[in-house]
Formats: sequence, structure tokens, C-alpha cells
Amino acid sequence: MSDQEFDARLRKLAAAGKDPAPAGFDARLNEIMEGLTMKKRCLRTIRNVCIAAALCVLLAISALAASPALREALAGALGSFAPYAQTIEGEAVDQGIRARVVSALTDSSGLAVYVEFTDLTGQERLAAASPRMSGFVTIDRPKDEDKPSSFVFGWDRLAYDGESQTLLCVCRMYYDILLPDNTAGMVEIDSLEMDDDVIVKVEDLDAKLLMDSYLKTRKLESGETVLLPGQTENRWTNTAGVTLSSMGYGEDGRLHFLFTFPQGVDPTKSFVLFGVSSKTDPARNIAYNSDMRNVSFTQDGKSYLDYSVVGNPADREDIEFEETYIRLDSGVPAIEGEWRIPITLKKVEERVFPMADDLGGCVLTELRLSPLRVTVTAQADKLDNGVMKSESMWAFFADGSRVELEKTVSGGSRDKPTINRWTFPEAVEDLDQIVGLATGKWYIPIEDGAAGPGYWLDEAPHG
Amino acid sequence: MGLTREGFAGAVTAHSRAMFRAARSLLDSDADAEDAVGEAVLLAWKSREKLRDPGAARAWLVKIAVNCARRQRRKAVRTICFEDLEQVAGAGEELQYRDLWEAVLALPPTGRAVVTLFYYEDLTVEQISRLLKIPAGTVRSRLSRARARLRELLDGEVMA
Repeated sequence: MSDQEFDARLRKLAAAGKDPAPAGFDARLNEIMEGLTMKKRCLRTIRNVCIAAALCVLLAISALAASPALREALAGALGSFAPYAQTIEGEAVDQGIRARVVSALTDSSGLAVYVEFTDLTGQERLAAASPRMSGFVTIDRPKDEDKPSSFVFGWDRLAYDGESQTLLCVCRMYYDILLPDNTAGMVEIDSLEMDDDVIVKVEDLDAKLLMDSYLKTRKLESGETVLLPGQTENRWTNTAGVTLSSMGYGEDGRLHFLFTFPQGVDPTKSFVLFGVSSKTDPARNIAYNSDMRNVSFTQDGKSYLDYSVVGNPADREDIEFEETYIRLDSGVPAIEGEWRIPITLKKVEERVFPMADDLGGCVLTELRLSPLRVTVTAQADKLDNGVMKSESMWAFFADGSRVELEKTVSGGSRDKPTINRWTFPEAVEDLDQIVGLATGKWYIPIEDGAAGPGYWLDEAPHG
Repeated sequence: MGLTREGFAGAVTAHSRAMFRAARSLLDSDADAEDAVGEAVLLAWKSREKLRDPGAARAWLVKIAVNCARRQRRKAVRTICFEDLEQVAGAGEELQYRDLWEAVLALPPTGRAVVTLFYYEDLTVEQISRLLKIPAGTVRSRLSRARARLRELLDGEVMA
């Protein structure tokens, strides 16, 4: 039986195979799904009480000044786009957390809303390194849009100011329609998850930095042996705020790695995940990784996590480290509540060009230029089409210069045109200076107030 | 396109076996796989607005289940070298299976995952490569080894 025949037979067997799930699987899965609903209902009950107690209030206020540190962080995040940012006001308070919209950047194809979260209780609940927000910005859709909205979104943490206990975040949204000006929207946030089970990939550790001498250790009251901090040169560029304080062999027959974590992370609930491999004999891997330990302790008021595996200096030339993962846990449960902030989105200035370029079944119907990005609307048989899938776009200027844009989000709902976006690295002050765009090998000239018709280049522009 | 609650529950129910199979192919027990599916359902619920095409629900849910299973595998304190396991698995008692899934579970973990995604989910080598975050060449070699092993493991009558 050939491989092709074998594959076909196995696919038939797979389709007709018996149920792989264990007994009771469906019932347990249903419990989980019912729990999702119940949780929501419980929350609403609590919310009603909160509302009755006037603990959940929605205010339209004149903007309170952000702390100087956060004002600086916001300015840094906006960068050259700052002149196009909309000053926007509105806040909601629930669960002792105030959410306040401070700025927004909007064009037809997307928006970024900057939100400050302040812990009014003084409990520093927002200090986590990588909080996750469950929420987004909904918009009032045109009356003929009765279908559910299609969009993608994401939150990023920008800065945290410990003094005011305020976290600055941005929510970026892209919809399946082009936004009209003065679109009414609502920032809707349901929970703030403070680093509960966030696993970050950090820079891999380099075994070549190990010394063959023993490092100093100390024994904790629990009997565990840990490294003393600050013994090795730190050539490890940390990510996610994690730093490597010491790395080396202890006389306890173990190879230790001593980490410190950013503010807000609880070392007792965090742990490190990576293994040690043998360069010469894979059979030794099991011995190297047979006993991994995470030990947290405090020294001189600072928290540490000592991760160790079996090892001694004789192994130094033989070992290498696997990819390094660290679970950061603030130990703080998610803060669930209801923050609803109505906003009105004002778009930046745009240039709109009708188009009719037909790229083999994919018709480019419109080009929009804003200081933020380039948006091309296309009508195609499939959501994804060749040219519009291009990661790269170059904008060419009247003075002969050019810049590369970053592909942002493409797509849309079925039976609708796709909206394809590329973002400028820096704001474009004078849109009239753009004389052409190239996505892949397709070049779109812009002159005399018109875009296109485009044509194929011999090769795609590159850096 | 965001799913309604009913739509979400329907999608999970319809594709729960595919999620379980994908998770189980990466984990060593039914219980671990069920945990991963449970976590995947919660994560999927939280990010359901990201599902833009309801027709892609199966691939989306399977992908989340695979990621949860991979994360669960990494969380395990003990680390097992798959290549070692592969050698050990080949040295075990020779059994013949009449059911494909039972034969798949008898494969080493590296083979289990690619076989499950290839035969049960009809994914291409490139799609498996992206999902498992391993090179396409590795997927091909694992698939080739797993195919050879399945030829040995499956009862001749089943293959007739």
C-alpha cells in the first residue's frame, strides 16, 4: 500500500473512529459552559447592589491631570502621532477601580483608546507587569448593519505609576466597516486580570557564561540551598522586567539560577520553566532534569526566585539550555466589574481616493490616507487575496524619500469588501506629499488628486 | 465576528472531540487532556470576539486546545526528552490495534501530535508546522516515522 493509499485509508478510519473522550466528559464540559453563564449572572446581581450603593458611577468630567510620569508615558506612546490625538473625557468607577479615557487616535479603519486605571483603595492591585484587560470598544453601527460586528482588538500596558497607583493602557480596535466621523462608541471593560498565570518567553540563557568554580550559597530555614545574589556578571538582557541576579554551580551538587521579578509579581507563586540538554548524549537529559526546584525567598527586603537543576562544574562543557519560560503571577485574582464609558470618536483628516484596479479577481475599490495609516478596500472572492496579503507596503514621497509601513490587520466579514491596513512608523504631516504606494510588486501612483490605475513593478521595493 | 453564548456553546459541543483529541495527542493522560480542554473553553470564551469567521470555529478551538496542552506540558515539573521516549516506545511489547485512536496513543508523543492533526484534522504539513511551532521538515520526518510505526501497529484486517 503506497503512502497516499495508506493516508486515505487512515483518514477514513479517523472519520469513523470511536469516541476518544472519557466517560463523563460531556457532562463536565457542560458544567464549565454553564459556569460561564452563571458567573455572568452572579456578576450582574452584584453589580445591581453596587449600583444601588452608588459604588458604580459613570461620570463625564473635565479631565483630571494625569500624573507627570503617566503624562510623559502617554506622550511617549503617542510619539509623532500626538498632534492627531483626540482629547477625550469620561470615566467609570467600579470595584474601587477608576477607569478613565484620556486620549484616542481614530481614522476610518481603526482606533486606539488610551485608558488610565487607578486603584482608589490604595491596595496597589494594578501594579502587575502584564495585566490583561477583558474589554473592548463597541461602536454604534450604521442602521443597515444588522449583523454582529466583526473586529479584532488588543490591549497593551504602557506604564504604571506607583505613586498614584495608576496603570496606563491602550486598546486598539479594527472593525469590519469604515468608521464615519463622530462615531458614538462605548469602552466596555469587564475584568482586569492581574498577571494570573502569564507565561512569558524570555531571552534564552547562555551556558557559556557558566564558571567552573562554585558560587556562594546559603541555606534557608526550610533547608533549601539558594545562591547569594549579585555574584555573576549580568550579560543577560532581561525581558518582561525579569533580571538574572546570579547563575552558577553550588556545592550542593546543583546548578542554580537566581532571578528577581518586576514590581507586583509574587515570586512564591511564580516559577521558571526550562530544561538542560546534553550536547553529546541525549540519555543524560533525564538525569539533568530529574529534579527541578523553584525556591522563593526574601533577602534584604528584596524577593528572589532560585531555580535549580542537578549539576556540577564537570558538566559545564556538555550542557546547553532550552528555551526559557517564566510564569509570572501577581497572586492577585482578577478584578471583575463593569466599567462603561461612552465616547465620541473624532477622526483625523483623511484623503479618500476611489479606485478600480483589478488584480485578477481582487478589485481595489478605495484608498484612504491618514496621518496614521493607509487603508485599501478591496472586493475579492476570498477574504484573503494575494496582493492585499503582502506584509510590506512602501509609501513614496514627492521629495524622493520613502518609508515602509507595517501591516496591521486585514479582513472583514464574508460577502463584504475586505479592509486592509498598513500603519506608518511616524505620523505623515502632509498627505499631499505622498505620490505613490507599493504593496508587494503592485504600485499605485497618486497624482492630480487621483489614485491608480496601478501597475506591476519588476520587483517589490525593499529596505 | 463575535459568537453569541448559544453559538459558542454549540461550537464547543460540536468540536469538543477534536479539541480533546488534539490535547490528548500532546499529553500523557485523558485527565490532563480534559483539563487542557476545560482551560481552552474558558480562554476561547474570553476571546470569542476574535473569532471573525464562524466557519473557522473548529480550527480556532483546536488551536487554543493545542496551545493549552503545550502550556500544560511545559508546566510539568519533570521534563521528558521526546527523542528518548521514542526509543523506549519502540522497544515495548508489540501489540496490534483494531482502532486507529488506540494505535495513535501507542505512538511516542512527537508522532501522536502530528498524526492527530494530519489524519483527524486534515491539516497540511505547513499548518501543523505553524500550530506546533516546529519546522515543516520536522513535521514530515515525524509523520514519516509515525506512518511506518502505524503500519506495524494496525491490525492487517483493519487496513484491508
